[in-house]
Amino acid sequence: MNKDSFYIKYKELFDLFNGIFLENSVLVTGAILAPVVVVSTSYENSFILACAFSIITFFTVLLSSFVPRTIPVAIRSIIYTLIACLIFIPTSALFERYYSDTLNKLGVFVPLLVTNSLIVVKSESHFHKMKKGRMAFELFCHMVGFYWVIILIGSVREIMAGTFNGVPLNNFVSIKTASLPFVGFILTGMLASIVQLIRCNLMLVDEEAPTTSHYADVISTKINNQSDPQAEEEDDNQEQPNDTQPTDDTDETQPTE
Amino acid sequence: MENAIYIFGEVSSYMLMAVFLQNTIFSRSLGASTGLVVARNNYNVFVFGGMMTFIMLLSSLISCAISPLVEDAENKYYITPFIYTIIIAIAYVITLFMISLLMYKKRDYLLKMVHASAFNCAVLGSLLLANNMTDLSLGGHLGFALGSGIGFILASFLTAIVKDKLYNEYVPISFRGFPLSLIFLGILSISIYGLIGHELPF
Repeated sequence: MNKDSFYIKYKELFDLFNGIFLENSVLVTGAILAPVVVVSTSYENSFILACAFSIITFFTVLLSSFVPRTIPVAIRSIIYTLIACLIFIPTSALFERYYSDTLNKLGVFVPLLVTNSLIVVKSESHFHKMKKGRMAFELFCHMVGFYWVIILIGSVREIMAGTFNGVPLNNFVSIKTASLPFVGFILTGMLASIVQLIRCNLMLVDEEAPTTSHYADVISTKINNQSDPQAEEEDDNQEQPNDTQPTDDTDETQPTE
Repeated sequence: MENAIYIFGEVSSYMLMAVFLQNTIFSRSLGASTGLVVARNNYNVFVFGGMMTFIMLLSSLISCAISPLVEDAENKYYITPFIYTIIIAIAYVITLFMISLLMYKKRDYLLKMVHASAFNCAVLGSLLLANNMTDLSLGGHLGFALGSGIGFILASFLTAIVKDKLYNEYVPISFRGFPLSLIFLGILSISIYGLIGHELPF
């Protein structure tokens, strides 16, 4: 482990922009999968979903940060979702006006954005623990992260189906199944593997299980070990475990009751 | 007697439809992230899924009573998520009370899971989908909710039993864990797609 590694050196900066790539809410944490896998079958669908997601999530998390912490977690979660439902009303009215047909095609997936994990879970466990400015910036990064993933997957699937933004592409073999969910699962999995490879190389973590919550522990352990060479030596002498699945029961997604 | 058989038939047919034809995870990816969290955190799939099914059943029972009131509302599309969230919240609070009163010994273990099992896409999604089906009776509502829950358990169980393989050290680092889980779900999704009688158009 090189303590002068690029990631360690600029960790503070990376942490700020984590939502775009290194902690992407679709490809790394898997928090928002349904719209990406099922209905991001064209550029237009993806664009509308990304915009709706951004508006609903950003304003909900921002407004819900004003809910007093004295209220029990169980009630707070209900309030967050209700705030999201209220923001859904003007958002969907706006899209209904300009993209009525596409909104109909998206079916239940736009209303379902009110229960996305960033609102229900991560706002409590992550965003509301920050100062408002930092929270807004990190939220914005998560929006950007969701936006590039859904647009990329939607565009690829539309091109696979032989069109782009509604225009037929000549000289392209069209794959009619590109709009089915299994293509979405496999494409998202492939993209997630590329992101994971980059994460591993950047963070110089190559032997531990690649789970999000685990990474933070691995990095902090390694950084601590650098200041204690003896501990690092002992660590190296330890036998490597056969199974690398996470043994901790870290549950970053569950707020405690 | 005839009525009972009819209701049983209705519940069974909607349940089978929700388990196989419209599986929450394989056909709509609703609750896929929740399913992966269940597998990743070593939660008991059956306990978690059972709790989710209970909340779905309770919610669908309430929504079946309330649906006719909002059926002809002018802004039905806009207000439906709000109404269903309140319904889920009621079911959630009832579940919390039941756990606190009836299952005192396993209270902490269950409370850890109950939040994620109530507020997720699978629960709200099953209510919204049932709402979109026209003229669905009480049997249909209950059958669809029960089937959605069982479908979630089936999909989560299939993911949980191969968790060791998905996180195995012999799997290349880029695919290990989450990416491979998604590809695995994709392969299962295509097999279910074929199993229920679809043919691929190529």
